[in-house]
Amino acid sequence: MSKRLKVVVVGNGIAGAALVDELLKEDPEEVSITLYGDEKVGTYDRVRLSEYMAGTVGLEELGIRPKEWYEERGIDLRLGVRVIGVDTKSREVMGSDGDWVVYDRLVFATGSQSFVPPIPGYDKEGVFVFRTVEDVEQMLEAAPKKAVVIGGGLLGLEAAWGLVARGAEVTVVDRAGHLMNQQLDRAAGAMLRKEIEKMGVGVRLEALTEEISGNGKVEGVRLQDGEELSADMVVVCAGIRSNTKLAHECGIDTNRGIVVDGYLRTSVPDVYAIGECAEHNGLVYGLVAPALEQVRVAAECVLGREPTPYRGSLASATLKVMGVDVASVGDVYGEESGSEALVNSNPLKGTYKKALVRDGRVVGAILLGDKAGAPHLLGAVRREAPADEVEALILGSNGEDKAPPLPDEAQVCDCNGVSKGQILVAITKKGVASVSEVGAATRAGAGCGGCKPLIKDILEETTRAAVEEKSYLCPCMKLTTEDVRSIVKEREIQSVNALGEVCGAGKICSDCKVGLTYVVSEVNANRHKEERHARHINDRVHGNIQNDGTFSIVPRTRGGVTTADELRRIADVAEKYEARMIKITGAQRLDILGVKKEDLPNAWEDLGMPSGFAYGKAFRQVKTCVGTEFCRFGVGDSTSLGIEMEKSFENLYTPAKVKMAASGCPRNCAEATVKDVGVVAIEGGKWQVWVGGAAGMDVRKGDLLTTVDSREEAMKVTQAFFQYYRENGRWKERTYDFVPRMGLEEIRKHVLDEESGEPERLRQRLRAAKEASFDPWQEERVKNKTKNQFAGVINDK
Amino acid sequence: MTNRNGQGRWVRVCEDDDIPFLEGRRVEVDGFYIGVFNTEEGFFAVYDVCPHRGGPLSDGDVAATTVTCPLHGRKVDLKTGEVLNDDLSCTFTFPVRVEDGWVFVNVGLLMTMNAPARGTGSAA
Repeated sequence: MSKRLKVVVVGNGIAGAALVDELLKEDPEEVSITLYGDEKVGTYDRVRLSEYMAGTVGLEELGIRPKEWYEERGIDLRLGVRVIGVDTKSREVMGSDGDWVVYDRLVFATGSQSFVPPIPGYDKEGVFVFRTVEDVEQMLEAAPKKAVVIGGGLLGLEAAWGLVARGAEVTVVDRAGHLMNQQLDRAAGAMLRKEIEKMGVGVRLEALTEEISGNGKVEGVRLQDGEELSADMVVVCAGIRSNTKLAHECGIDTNRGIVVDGYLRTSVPDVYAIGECAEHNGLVYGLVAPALEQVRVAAECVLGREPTPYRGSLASATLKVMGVDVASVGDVYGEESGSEALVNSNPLKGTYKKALVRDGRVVGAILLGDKAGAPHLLGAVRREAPADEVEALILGSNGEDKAPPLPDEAQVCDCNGVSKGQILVAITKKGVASVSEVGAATRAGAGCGGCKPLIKDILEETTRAAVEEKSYLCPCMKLTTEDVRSIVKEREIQSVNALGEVCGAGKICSDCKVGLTYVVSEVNANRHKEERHARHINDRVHGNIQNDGTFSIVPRTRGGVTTADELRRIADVAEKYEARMIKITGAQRLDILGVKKEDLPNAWEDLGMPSGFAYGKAFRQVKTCVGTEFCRFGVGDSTSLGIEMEKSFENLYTPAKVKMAASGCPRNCAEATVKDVGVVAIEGGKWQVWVGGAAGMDVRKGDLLTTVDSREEAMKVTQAFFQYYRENGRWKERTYDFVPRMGLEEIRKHVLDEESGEPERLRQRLRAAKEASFDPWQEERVKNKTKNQFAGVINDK
Repeated sequence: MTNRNGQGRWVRVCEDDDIPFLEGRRVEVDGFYIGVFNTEEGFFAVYDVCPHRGGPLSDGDVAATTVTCPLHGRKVDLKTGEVLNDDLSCTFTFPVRVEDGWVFVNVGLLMTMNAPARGTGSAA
């Protein structure tokens, strides 16, 4: 045991954590690692902080590892502990926890901190930097209405976007003449400004901040030209400064960063530095890809091997701001003599592409507004490829020209350093066939994910077939929904268990069981053998499980219409069962949240209302407007039609949830064109029927299936479509994917051509399924209930 | 309720038909929640707090030797406590024995654990 190499890593940021990963890849018996991190949370993906701030990713998706992860790997993790001293003679470090730890190899990965220029007032309450999870959390808590971001670089723009996404009014202030001046030339910067302003962000350039004003608390920012920007928050994103203090105090050579050579060695033996705290060849890199390149070399050196030395990184950056695509790599200004530029600028479309060429080789590039081909360009710059390789990419008509194939040595995933050749090996030797499988086999695409489209291209190019990420209903047995459906039909299978005996699905793994239940029940028109274990908990107890294990219940209020009496009962139930919240849903219903599982049956009895099925892959509800009954614009009675539709479809399961709406006039207040099925009344008693719309995770305007002359016909068309989807949709496939997959013409053939008799047959099968369906709250409260189904804890304590 | 037999501490938690085939149910011992599962491979018991976000595994989807958490789909190996589809640490498993129609769980491990961390679900 004592023979183990003792490695001490100071800093648990991206570089420190990546180094630990890299060391662990080797024989874990070989090294014993002590890891210091002064942030209280573990390692995370700092690159995605702006997404965390905007609320599009959670903490968990930042990749924070639980403490146990370190324990299992035998890593001595010291979170919240700073290293306060190093004795490079006796080879020991001292932490703020008072412990001395001996090392054989010491690695500085102390990162950097935000540089805050000495602007008068920078210490006022409400001035933030954008660096850590803690910073973001404090910013969110402050919930600014108006914010000024000082610094129009990459980080500043990301911070601005994060704040805009949280509803703040934001102005970005930069002293340079254009945005992202490290990565973009003036023309691109000007175009980016337009795009940023479209997002509602104000921009002030060549603007020096003279003072942050306010009485103890930020009230505004005064610029040198006299302009006053009012603000309740100021975020300073004026660049970074390497954390070199500790190294400097230990007598290690530092400059802007800790000075290292090609082996990431500092001036003191067996002490290394990596990432944003390291300075190589006069350069400090504040980006992920260079840090990871350094990590790979440093890990080898730490383990006593002789890798190819690190030769510096190509600066490349992409802006991770929703709706604005920016990529930049290498030299973008071309100030050196002999530089020439290929430029394709289209200010009308907001696209700008530029490649800088020196001695016939590509040395830098910018893409704005259209990132297609970004990986190709990046690769070309990295290899200093001949200029004609990128000519079509830059000058081609809007990038529609297919980029030339990448050479095998070209790096595809910059985060994890995976080349096209490595991906090809995975495809041809290991038989991987999807982007996610490539990721599992090579780690390509597992970093920022930006290279995933390129991986898909490579897959397609290699397999010569469009890669359809095949959606298996049962991935274990490689069975699609269609496969399962035909097995169930041919063998007349009535239960998930019997299906499992025949094809193996759902036996060793439960992932597909709920989907199998749907297919079995649908094919048998709900006359299947019900197996509760093959339903999700939501369908077993007819409520939606919440993050604390309690349930939400949504009673059915057809067409969004309720009564005073129902409201009273809802209120009583919420009180009696101590609901944590009553919430009006987007679908015109009332959601009682936070009911305990053991209280559900009594709550339903007290409610005396049917289940709204707000928990399952099932028909949900029909949202309506008040139509001709009350509205002075109404041309059709959408309320009663909506209620009729709801009665016709309620209690039925579907491949994925189905939401509907009925609008009484083309003003479309019920938003029927963004529902799975929507009807809209138009003049002359006619109704439009829309299908395949969505306004959720995906936003898609529905397709106009048909316009009919009466509400009876509208009813018939929606019923035929609904059943057609039930019979042909793939498990979890929403109508917004189903409709484009089948094609509108194909769907019309089946659901509109009454003379063929098919629409009527669809409706017959719908009626048959409907007859065997039931309201799980009222009609059959006792049926289909296994023992102790609603018990909280089943033993006596 | 307690039956000492060999190593650890065996606690009688329920009858074998209290837990339907291919389902799980929650029991509570010393303030700790334990999920007990009935599959074709026998009865299993795991700490009923998902290592991911604390979801109630006893409400999960059960297969021969796995349970999938109802909250975010983390799949736990009932034999080892390993999380099969994420880089999370193992959860605790407890030996189970069925005798004369009674289910016993060996909760010796609980003594090594700190104050009850119940995770989610209705408190008793």
